Amino acid sequence: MNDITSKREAQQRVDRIRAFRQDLARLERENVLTLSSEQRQGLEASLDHELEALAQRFDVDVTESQKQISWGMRIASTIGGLALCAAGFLFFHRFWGLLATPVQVAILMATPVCGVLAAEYAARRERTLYFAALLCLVAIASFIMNLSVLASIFNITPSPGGFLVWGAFALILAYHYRLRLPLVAGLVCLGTYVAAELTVFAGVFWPQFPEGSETLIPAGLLMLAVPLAVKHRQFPEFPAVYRLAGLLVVFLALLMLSLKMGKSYLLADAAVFYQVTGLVAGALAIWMGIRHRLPAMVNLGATFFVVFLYCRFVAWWWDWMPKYLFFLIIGLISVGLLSVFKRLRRTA
Amino acid sequence: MKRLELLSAVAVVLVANAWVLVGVALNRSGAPSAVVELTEREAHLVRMGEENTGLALRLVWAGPTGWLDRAKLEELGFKSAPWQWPKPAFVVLERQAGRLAAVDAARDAAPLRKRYADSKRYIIAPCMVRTWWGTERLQGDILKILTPEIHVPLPYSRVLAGLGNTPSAGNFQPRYQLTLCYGQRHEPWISDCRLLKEER
Repeated sequence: MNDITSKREAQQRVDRIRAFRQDLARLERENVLTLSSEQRQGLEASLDHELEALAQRFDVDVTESQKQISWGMRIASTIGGLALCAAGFLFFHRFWGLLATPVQVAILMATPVCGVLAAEYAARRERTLYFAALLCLVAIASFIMNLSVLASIFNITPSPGGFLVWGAFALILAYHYRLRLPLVAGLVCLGTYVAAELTVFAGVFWPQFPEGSETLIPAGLLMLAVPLAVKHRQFPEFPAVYRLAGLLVVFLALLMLSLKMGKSYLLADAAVFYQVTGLVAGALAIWMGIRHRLPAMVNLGATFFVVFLYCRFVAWWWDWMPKYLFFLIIGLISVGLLSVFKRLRRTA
Repeated sequence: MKRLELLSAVAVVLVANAWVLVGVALNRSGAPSAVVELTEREAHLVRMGEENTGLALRLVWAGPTGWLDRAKLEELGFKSAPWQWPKPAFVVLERQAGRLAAVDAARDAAPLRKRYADSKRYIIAPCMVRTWWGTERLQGDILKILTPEIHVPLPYSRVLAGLGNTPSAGNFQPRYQLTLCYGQRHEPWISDCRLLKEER
């Protein structure tokens, strides 16, 4: 048990113990295995002791109902965090016109700092970190409000620099408390910063980066590269977040470019190139996911592979083909894809 | 280590705020690049919703009239292509009788300041220029200036507190006058605001 270092590993161990108990009960019912009462007592005592220790050390869910309630708490803390952010933002707007500029600046600056201190206080009081996660979200949103409102008060020309510091702040909180939601927030901000700077490099004004979706692709690739370059031994749940965020950014950018919703800096007529690239990237993600045993990567790759494929079918056939025939073909192709995925699943 | 992480989170907040405030101080240091007297005709009052007590003035200006031709667009870095990305530039806004009008643009602010040296008459503001292909030739427009709304701080917001939004159209009698300054970084601020006689 000493080799367990994270709550996630502890929860996996608890789930395995629960599955082991269910299997043991089934084997005993089927008379495949019978333990003596001494053996049973010893085994139950050992497992109970381990569960108790894990629950005490990591505050894991030992029963199924505890697990369900934990999900509820996670959802409540996310919604609570967002609601608190909205409340803080609207409260400030309700009164900011009545405050002198130095008071406005002081409040704006103090809010994220207070958020960090409150998160630290909460983290020291409860091991589940639900309140700490909620307060981290509040701190990140306050920091975003801090710089945005400051820019508005002093009529500052917009620049992408804010995304860099917001991203750094969110990442520090994510690694400090080992929380995935601040990590996602940090990656969104840093991805935006990279895309905006590349847009400037291309000679375009930075707020237009969503239109030139190509700059999002290097941002996504950078996120994908992080788990390869940095070993996350103390944060085993983080590489998956980097991979999924990176893949999502790359796939969405490719999809926008393939549908001509985004404009290309590199090619005059880029749609066909990105349609093919999207399909290849989807297949590549599936292959990599299977090879490295990353189910989330396989699922995301398969989802976007199918989306890219169906987008093409709509573009090629929708206008001229009878609708019943179109959906029949889509249905048949889906059945074909299912059998391909089934075969892949068997070989994986 | 844990304490260092916490301190660095706080440090990021403080350094970012200090960076912004130093930028503001630099912008407002020295002689302003423009000090222009405007009325409500050129700076419309904007209330930001019922639950927002903040006030802002939106600059209203007339777009280019003929001078943003192909030669000027090429000077701004555009080519003769059907579609191009909008580009950042600086626009000169001239205070004319009862309105602000865009009269020139360039990629850099320095030559414009030399050409339009009267700081009481001309504002040089960062903007975005866009082009389109119309009637077989390249045409351009100022898409927007980058700080179109100017925050009204205390005590000037008290002066405008009782006034409703500026009518969006039609000929109206201006209710207030303000002094608008632009600093070293071409960012504006209000240095004075007063009601006109009829509103007192």
